[in-house]
Amino acid sequence: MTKKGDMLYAWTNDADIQKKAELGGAVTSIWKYALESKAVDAVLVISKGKDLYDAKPTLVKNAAELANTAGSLHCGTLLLPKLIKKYFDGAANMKIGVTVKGCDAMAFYELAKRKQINLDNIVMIGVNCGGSVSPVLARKMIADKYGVDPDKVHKEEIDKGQFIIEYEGGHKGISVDELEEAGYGRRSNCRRCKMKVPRQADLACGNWGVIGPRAGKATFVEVCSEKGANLLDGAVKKGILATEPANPKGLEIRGKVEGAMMKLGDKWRKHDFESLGEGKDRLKKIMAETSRCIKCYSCISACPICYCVDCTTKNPAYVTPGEVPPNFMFHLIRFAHIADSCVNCGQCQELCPAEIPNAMFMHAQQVELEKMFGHVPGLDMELPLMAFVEEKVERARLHNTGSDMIYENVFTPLPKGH
Amino acid sequence: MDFTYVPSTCPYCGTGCGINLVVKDGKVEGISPWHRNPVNEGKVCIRGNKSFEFVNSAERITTPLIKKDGRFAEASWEDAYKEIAAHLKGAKGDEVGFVASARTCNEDNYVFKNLAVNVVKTANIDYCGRRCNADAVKGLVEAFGQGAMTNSITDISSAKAILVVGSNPLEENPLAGRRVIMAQKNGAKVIVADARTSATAKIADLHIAINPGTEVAFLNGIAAAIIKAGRENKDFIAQKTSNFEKCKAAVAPCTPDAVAKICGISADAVTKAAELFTAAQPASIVTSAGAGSGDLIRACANLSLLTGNIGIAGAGVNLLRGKSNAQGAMDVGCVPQDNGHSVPAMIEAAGAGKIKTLYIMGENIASAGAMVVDALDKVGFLVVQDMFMTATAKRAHVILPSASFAERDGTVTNSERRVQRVRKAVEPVGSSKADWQIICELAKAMGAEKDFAYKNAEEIFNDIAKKVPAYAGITYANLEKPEAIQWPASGGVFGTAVLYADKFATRDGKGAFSAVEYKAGEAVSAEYPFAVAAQWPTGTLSLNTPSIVREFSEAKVSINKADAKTLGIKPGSRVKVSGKTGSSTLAADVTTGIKAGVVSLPLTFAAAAVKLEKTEGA
Repeated sequence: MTKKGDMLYAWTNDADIQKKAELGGAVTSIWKYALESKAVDAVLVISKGKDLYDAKPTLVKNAAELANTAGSLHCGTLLLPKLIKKYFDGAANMKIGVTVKGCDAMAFYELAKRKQINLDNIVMIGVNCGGSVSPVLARKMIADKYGVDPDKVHKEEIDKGQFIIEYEGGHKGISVDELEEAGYGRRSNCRRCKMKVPRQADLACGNWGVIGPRAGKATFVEVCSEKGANLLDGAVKKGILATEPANPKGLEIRGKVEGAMMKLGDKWRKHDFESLGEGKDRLKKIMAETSRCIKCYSCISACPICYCVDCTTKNPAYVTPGEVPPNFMFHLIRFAHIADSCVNCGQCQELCPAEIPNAMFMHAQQVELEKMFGHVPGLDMELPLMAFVEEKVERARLHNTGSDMIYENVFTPLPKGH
Repeated sequence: MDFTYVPSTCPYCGTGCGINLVVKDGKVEGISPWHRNPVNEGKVCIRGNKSFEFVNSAERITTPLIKKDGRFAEASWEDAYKEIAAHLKGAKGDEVGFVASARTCNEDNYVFKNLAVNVVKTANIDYCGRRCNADAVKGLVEAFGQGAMTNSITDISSAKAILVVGSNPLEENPLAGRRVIMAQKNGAKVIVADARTSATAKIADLHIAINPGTEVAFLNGIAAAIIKAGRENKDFIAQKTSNFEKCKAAVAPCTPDAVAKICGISADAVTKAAELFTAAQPASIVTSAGAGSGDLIRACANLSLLTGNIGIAGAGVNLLRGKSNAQGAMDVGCVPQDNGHSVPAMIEAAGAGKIKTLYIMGENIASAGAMVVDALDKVGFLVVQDMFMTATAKRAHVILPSASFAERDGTVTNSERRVQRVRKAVEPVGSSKADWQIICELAKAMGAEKDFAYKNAEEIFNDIAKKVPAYAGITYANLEKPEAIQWPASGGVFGTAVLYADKFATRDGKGAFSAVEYKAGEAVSAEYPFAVAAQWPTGTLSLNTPSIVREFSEAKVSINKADAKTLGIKPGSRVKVSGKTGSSTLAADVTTGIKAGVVSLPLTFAAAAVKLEKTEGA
């Protein structure tokens, strides 16, 4: 019996999956089992759209279609939980399996805290993520730095600090540091990210620490929940999946890789946050950059913390409708509502048509708030800072008035007589 | 539950951003970023972000309508075709006019033109871009040989200097505006000439608030200053251009002092702009032109030729188009045939009773003002093919309901000549149909089925690729890559990003300077004291999009704070704006973001000078 905390190597026994999948095809196999055993109604995964650089969310209900979705895409910069909130009623009536990066996992918890997603109906398989590269930039990088026609590339991966491509005529790797020095490489939020192994998922999978004869042919699986353990046991019992305990040496290596990635994340945080300056200088910088805003609302549409039906930025008392650029209040509202819970998913920056480093600003504030109050977003169901700090006082006050409207959207109102 | 992403092209402006339509159980439920599209990399403006809303609008026309006794009655397609065919068959070609659309697909416009020219036998065909960019396109043909943006939207970001004139890309073509921002972040200097402190003017390194309508004087002034300082690109001029002396003579009187007087700016601003524009190469000109913009674009072209800023990435004359297929409608031939009428001429002829039948596809020409409305009311038989009951559609005798961009296949060509796919994601609402399908069925009802026997949009496109030289070599198959193809296709796998790298497409292969003189427009007077910086009124799509209506609920007149105070106008006051040819009443937007003596408004009548009167409001 597998249990929470187990560290395993896993690989597929399914011939079809074996043909297409990477690293032993464990993730695809577990999803196959989950669909066949009706542990989930559907699986939401990223698959290849128009080409290798085009990541497309795909809903799979039929296990036979899973093999087509196998393999990783480092040029996929999507965030799935907000899609589940928007288009799947927050998994209210449907059990969905989702392959998640660290930012996806964190976003799931933040949306769940706000009652926008029912985590009971979500199964998460986390995958280690060293960061992702925006697709158009990736193509330019491959043309400029690798001297390779991006349309000739059939596989890309990030391994041992290198971004490696396989193409007609060979393979080539360049260190991520060198690429990033030259303005290419991972998104800036990915560089600062320290959620490399998403342990808040039900299973955390990856290739770090797979050594010996299984290297490249199996996936490292850390069992992170009972749900995850049951899934794994079921898949093994069905004969879809095979496992063995992870090599202790591999475990150690995995720890080292993770540690190195965390250090790199710290390095980039220092670099980015220092560039913002402090105090008034930081404010000035933020005001100057946000003054280009064209009010497309993409940051709000994509943010996993934003969920309100009617956003305060649309309140004419604060922000004049139709005014471009909007006054600074637009951004202050976003900072005030989000900063304590920002998971640094990067969507607000990635999608900003005015090239405002939104994620950097928000993340910088989150890190400061975390220092002050110790609240870490995206890890578990702990309530966000603003709710937590004032909750008792506020609830008592509101209870006396007979109304609990302020938090109605966010938290279930207390039962009468509390 | 079915859930899919369908990649498509935004239906709004001529930037041509890629978007993913999110389709759930046969309905477009939202827009999701399409990061892979090279034009916008997943980023959109508010219009793109909300472009699914009008698709699902309850205001969509869902069935053909035939007017009887002044009221519309639902009709079958068969009856509608019969009615139209009966009128068109008996009509004399020169008494019929066809107005094509800058927001429907290439395939629609191509068969529309063929219906007009080959079946109805009229030379009176044009597209609505006539009101804005058609003159500019002609100017580009004369100067360089091709009637389109010389460079790519993407490569604006590699410019070292950018001159924005007659354009506000951050608001009008925001994802082209993004490229200006990117260039600036890389060190480019941005010069913006605009009477308004627009969003683009706000980011400028040098904002010069020239009076509306004085752009040509300003551009000539820059050219003169460059020549005076000896900073023109002499080698480029000698090897690659013609008519330089003519241009030189024409701009000679445009001294900084003379230009300053005309434009209402300081003389220093002219020389400063000339310095910044020539300080580094490549230098790019970004413009959206406007009505009567031929001279403006020629003056822009002169400046590019003068400084050798053409044929290289990051340079060029970059004409940003207002509508998604303004470029394509013209490419496929929706322009007046031999001696045929342009749109304004058709309106005039209709007003004079000489055009008796008008067929308008995907365009609300009534928004251009009372004169057009009067002319439409005089037309004996008006056919309107549209998604919504526009002011134009209301005047129709027969309305044919069009499918939206999300409900049909096709292609649109953006400002930078990129031919991109529009893909059918859901079934058309009601009994509406793709525009090309409607036209082919009508042709059949007129007995011309042989030349309109297309089974799908792709078959039409294949014909376009055969007949339109710029589209040779383009197929739906090679448009599948998100890069698609920028015509001419011969330039590489993805076509041609920068025109004229080797030589110009003019007859002698040289870039042609022209002598452009500033012609003063209607001057402000004691009676009409305010100069007008016009915006185009539209709204067929956006006014059926609740998220946009919430931001821009109505057209407003922007007026300088000091001027407003003098007239007793407060924010929100109702203001009657009158010119020589008409008037309209709008809400006031009181701002410091516009030059004193200038007002900005969506014009529903032609005027370069107006007066304002407060009618009500606190």
